[in-house]
Amino acid sequence: NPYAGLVSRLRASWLTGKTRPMEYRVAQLEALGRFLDEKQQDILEALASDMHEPSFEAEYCNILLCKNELNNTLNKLDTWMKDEHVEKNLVTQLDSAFIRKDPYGVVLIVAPWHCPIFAALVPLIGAIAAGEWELCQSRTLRAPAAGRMVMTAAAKHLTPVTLELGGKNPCYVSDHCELQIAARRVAWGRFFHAGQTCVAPNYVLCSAAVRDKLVGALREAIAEFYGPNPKESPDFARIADDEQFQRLRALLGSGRVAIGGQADERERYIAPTVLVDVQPSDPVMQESILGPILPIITVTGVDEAIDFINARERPLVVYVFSSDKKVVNQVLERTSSGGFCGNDTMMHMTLVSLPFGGIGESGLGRYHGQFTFDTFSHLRGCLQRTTALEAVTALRYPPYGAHKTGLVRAACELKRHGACALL
Amino acid sequence: AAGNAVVVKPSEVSEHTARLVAELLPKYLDPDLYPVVTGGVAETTDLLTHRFDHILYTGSTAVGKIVMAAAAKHLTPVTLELGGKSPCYIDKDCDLTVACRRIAWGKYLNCGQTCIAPDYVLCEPSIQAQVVENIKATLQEFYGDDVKSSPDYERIINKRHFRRVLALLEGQKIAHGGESDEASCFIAPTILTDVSPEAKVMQEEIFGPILPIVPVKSVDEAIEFINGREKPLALYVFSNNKQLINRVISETTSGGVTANDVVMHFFLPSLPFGGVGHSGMGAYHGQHTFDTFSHHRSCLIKDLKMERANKLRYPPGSQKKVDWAKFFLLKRWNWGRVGLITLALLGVVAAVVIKVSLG
Repeated sequence: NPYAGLVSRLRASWLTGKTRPMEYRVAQLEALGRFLDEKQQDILEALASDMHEPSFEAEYCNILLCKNELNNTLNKLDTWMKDEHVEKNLVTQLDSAFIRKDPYGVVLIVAPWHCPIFAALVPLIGAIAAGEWELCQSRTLRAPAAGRMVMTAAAKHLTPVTLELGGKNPCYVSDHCELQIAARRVAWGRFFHAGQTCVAPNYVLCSAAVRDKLVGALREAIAEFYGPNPKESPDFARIADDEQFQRLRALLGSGRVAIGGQADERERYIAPTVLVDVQPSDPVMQESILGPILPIITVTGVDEAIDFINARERPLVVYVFSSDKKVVNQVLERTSSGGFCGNDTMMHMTLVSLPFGGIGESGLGRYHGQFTFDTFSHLRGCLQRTTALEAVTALRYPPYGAHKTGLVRAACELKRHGACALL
Repeated sequence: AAGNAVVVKPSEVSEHTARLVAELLPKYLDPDLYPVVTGGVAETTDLLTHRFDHILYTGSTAVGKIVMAAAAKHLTPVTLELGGKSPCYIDKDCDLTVACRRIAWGKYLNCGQTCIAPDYVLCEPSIQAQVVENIKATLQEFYGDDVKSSPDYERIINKRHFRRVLALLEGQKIAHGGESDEASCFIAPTILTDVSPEAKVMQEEIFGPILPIVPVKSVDEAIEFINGREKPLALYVFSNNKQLINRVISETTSGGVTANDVVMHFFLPSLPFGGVGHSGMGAYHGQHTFDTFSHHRSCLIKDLKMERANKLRYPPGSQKKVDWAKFFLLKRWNWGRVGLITLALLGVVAAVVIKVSLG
């Protein structure tokens, strides 16, 4: 095993306690910030070589969002690292009870191809902040099968895992909404980075009445973004590699092409595409698309949309577009997903205060902002007791007796609110 | 409380309790949503092939690995409350009488069969004898002259564990106790001294009324000893010196800690209870249980208005757009300064208004 030496060296380094002081962690985080500043051009060029990534997208996701995380972490690290004092009961009134944030030790971060910088650096920031030693790796993996493989391997060592997997993110567009605006936001989310993001809306559910208008609105939005020929737009990315390109090209056969559908193997270009008349059994509906293809499936209304969503594996995100708050809330309450965004796409990811993660096949655990720090920290419950008042403590020792038990009960009992002793 | 349907599977080892739970719980809780399933290894293995949305397992490290591997097939998150050898360091500088009483209480509670009992003691050789004497005196206080006839002293759960625990005494220096009776699964509260780190009793979680004392030269050696082993579920340290306590806590890791007592962190529901490394993952008690069984779903609900602001993020891209995006995403308002300026301005306005209305 080529990594055995590396992992044991890392563990030995970590055991020296080097990462414990805040100063060390801050120094490493600041160095990461300098990396993002000084090597920004190199990073953007590498991303452009991989995926023809438009510089706005590359800078937004990989530099801006990472710097955001970095600054948030540096601003709040001292608070996050502090012992968290907790509520005490009668017995522990004179004691000190707190949660200590202990680093786990040596952690592994495996980043995906579709957001190689963001998904490596954001967890890295939190892991460094939490005092870990990290091993980072980039792989081409297909979740959730890969997720199962990782978790099975982790089980041998009882290593806790956080799995950020994918899924088919549904997007319900109700009859009552500003279609042009909805279409623009859906198109932005779907075609950003040529659809190669885990949070892109994967398919649209809408009524037959709305469908054609929506397609028209999407066509307008695509033209607004990329001009009459997206292939010539500097703002439209390419597919990451040949394997992904072939996979996506095969999906173009599902349903009927309403917009786009062009593909160019030499450039690994797939046009922003909208498919209609798609059946739930079609290949494009069997896997997370991770490409610029948007199938539209018609449903009779919000109830059928909710049933459709609930009949499938729980996705990473559920999207709903509606001017009617009740419809948005209904979908929120009656479905389950990693996250939820009403009347927009992808924006919930930009808030460092919201935890980001999946559920079921879309993942396990969460990160971003303080949640990354917490993910990589063992929350250790600590109680520092006083040695005084031994006479009170003596109530708990054998020999047991009814009078002792009564007193202990009185000291420890927690009553339900509203239970009045007088009545 | 978190709104889940739950399958409860009590341990077949505590057979009477398991039967009781299986019979009575369905009479109180909705059996459609909270069934109780009983059985042994075969039944549990079958149960684990099914897809759950979360599994909380309390038991041994070895079985914990099996549970997690089974859960991995369905990507089911797990909370594992496992075991380990919880060390207890006694500093020279501490109230030895109180310390030993508390340790004896925690160790022999439930005949040593609790996951957070102090498994073994680390102390300097100079206080070892005193520790033994103090614990002996405490045992006398707790259980009287004849432990076997005390109604407050439990028995080992079954013959298999009785034999396992007794076997740990082989070749050891018994400073107190050691008596046993297979018929009633009785093992007397026992103390072993000058125990070697390589002894059998130091290789597995004891889960019985045997307290090994391993001499160490100093707190540094104690910390090194603890860090050289698997991360324990609980860690105990007794000392009058707050700095020493803080050092032990900071330079080690464990599921939880109680200083100057044992077991008590378990009883405070505001503290998360759980292990780390081989002693487990995840936590529960109090709100932590609710959180463990809840999915924290991030929600962002926007309006379809204010579309003009959104134009910044849509293609075609431009440097101007990137700069604006930076402004909105990265800018942190220093409310302090703005607040002060606003306050100053308000003060001026108030002064003018007052002057005008009076004048």
